[in-house]
Amino acid sequence: MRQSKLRSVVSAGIVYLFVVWCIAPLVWLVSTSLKSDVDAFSATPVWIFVPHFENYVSAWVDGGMGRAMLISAAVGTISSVLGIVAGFPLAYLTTQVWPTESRASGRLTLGILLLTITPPVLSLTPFYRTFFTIGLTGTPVGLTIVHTFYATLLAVLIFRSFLVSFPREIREAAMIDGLGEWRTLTMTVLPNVWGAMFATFVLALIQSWNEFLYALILTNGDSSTVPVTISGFLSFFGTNWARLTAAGVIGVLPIVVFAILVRDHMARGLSFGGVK
Amino acid sequence: MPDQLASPPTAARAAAPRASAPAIPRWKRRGVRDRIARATLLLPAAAVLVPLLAIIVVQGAILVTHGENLSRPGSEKRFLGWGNFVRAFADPTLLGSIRVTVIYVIVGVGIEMLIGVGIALLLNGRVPGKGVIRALVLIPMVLTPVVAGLMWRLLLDPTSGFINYLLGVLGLGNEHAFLSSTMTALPTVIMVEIWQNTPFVIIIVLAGLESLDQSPLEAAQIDGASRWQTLRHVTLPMLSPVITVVLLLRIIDAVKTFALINTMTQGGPGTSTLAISSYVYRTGFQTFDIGYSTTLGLIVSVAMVILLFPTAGRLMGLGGRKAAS
Repeated sequence: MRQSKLRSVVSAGIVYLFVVWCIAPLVWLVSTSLKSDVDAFSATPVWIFVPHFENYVSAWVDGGMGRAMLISAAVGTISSVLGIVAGFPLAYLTTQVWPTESRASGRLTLGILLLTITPPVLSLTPFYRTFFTIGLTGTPVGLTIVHTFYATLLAVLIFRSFLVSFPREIREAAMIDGLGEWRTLTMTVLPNVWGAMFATFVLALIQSWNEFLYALILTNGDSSTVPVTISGFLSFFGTNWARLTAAGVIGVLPIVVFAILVRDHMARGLSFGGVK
Repeated sequence: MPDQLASPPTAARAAAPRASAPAIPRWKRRGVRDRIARATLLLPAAAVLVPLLAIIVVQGAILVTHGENLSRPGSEKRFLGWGNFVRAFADPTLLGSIRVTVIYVIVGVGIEMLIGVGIALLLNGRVPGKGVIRALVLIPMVLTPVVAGLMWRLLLDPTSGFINYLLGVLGLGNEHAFLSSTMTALPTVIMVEIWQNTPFVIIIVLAGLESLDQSPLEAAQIDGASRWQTLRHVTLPMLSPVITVVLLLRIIDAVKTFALINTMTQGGPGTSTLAISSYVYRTGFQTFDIGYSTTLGLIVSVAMVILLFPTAGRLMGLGGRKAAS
């Protein structure tokens, strides 16, 4: 009995240590964002200080974080919604209309998987070259198109993982009742997979918000997203770390709060059905 | 056929007087309309994917065969044929960046898996405050990588970084420039990768553990198996499908790494942390050699797909025997 007690104390201790390792850097991030610029760059840590909220004002107004948040929110929301609209019917087709074991279904899904595995560096220059020619660089529009592409792939894989185990008889009954494919899709299948839709939305939104590579080449200046704007705070001539960290806190806050609120929906979506 | 509107089955029978099998004509009559309806299910996804795929294929084919440099107008007309590929296969920087990426993925993902599975197993037992822990552990994973990279850069700063202060207090010297030495830059970047992505492993493995069938575990306990034996011979084998999926997803993601490296070291010092994505970005958008940059992207992507696609397809229950689930 005593041994098992010791064991659970030790294992709890290891877990708490791990949590500290995860969180301590973030505490430092937040505390730096509240310091004066001198204290933020001091060689010995300043433990006690008067909070300087003007770093936040400066990041929001002069640093353009307010505008960046708006752009990231718009790009993320639009691309996630479009991805769901595009991906859900395809997942329905490959699991409910065609049996999952059928050749057509397997091939289509493999195609989607192939695109998911392909690193984005393959399409970086073709997208840039084309979007530059038609005037979509330096605006959030081109980036939204690219993010919709990735949101669609995500949506197909997540919806598919939920719909694989969904009984096909329900669709067949609806079809016999004379509902067409589209009404069956929206009226009988969709109400059963709200969880998948929510998980897709959450993950696509986080993916878009955090995405840096395409955002860096397709947006600039007034069209910069949150990560691009924050990375722009780095300067060769002495970075203002207090303001940079304030921008960082502003930029991650919505996504962190959102993720914590909806965490139960994430695990299954994250593993594409690897966890039931 | 206005007189037959009210009753379609009659219409079918009228069309085929020997109505021994009315089901066949009905099926056929529905067939065309059905096929059109099914085709429309493809349309939304096709509208998103096809134009962009066309851009990748057509524009990509032009770029890899030409020596276009964005800083030299007219260079887009310089046809090279296989020239870019010949150059790539003799390029020591490409080899170096593949080496950096392979080390990054094997060491980073390997340690993430070990720590992640370990912590998930501990969290599956009785730990006070589990709900709060699960919420807190989630944060590094969803944190914008650019912010994670800059935060660690601040922490690791040689003059004002907290890590150096801590090491100084412990008497280990307080002026380590971890990110600007070719010896320590890559291990340091890998450490941040581990910090950020271990939670992903924990969250999925924990969800997998919680959905395991409990009866084999109870049976093992009744049979007098020790904790270690149960873990080794019952829990881990049952968990292996989940672990494989997590491992694969982490590898796919880690190969694409860009934001962490770009904010912490930009691939430097020298090329010591220049992973593939950073090299392609540097070639295309800092030296503007976008024809060559596309070629590098293509070579890397083909290699990646050849290495991972067969396993990924099998794990998704596709293109092979279907995994029993």
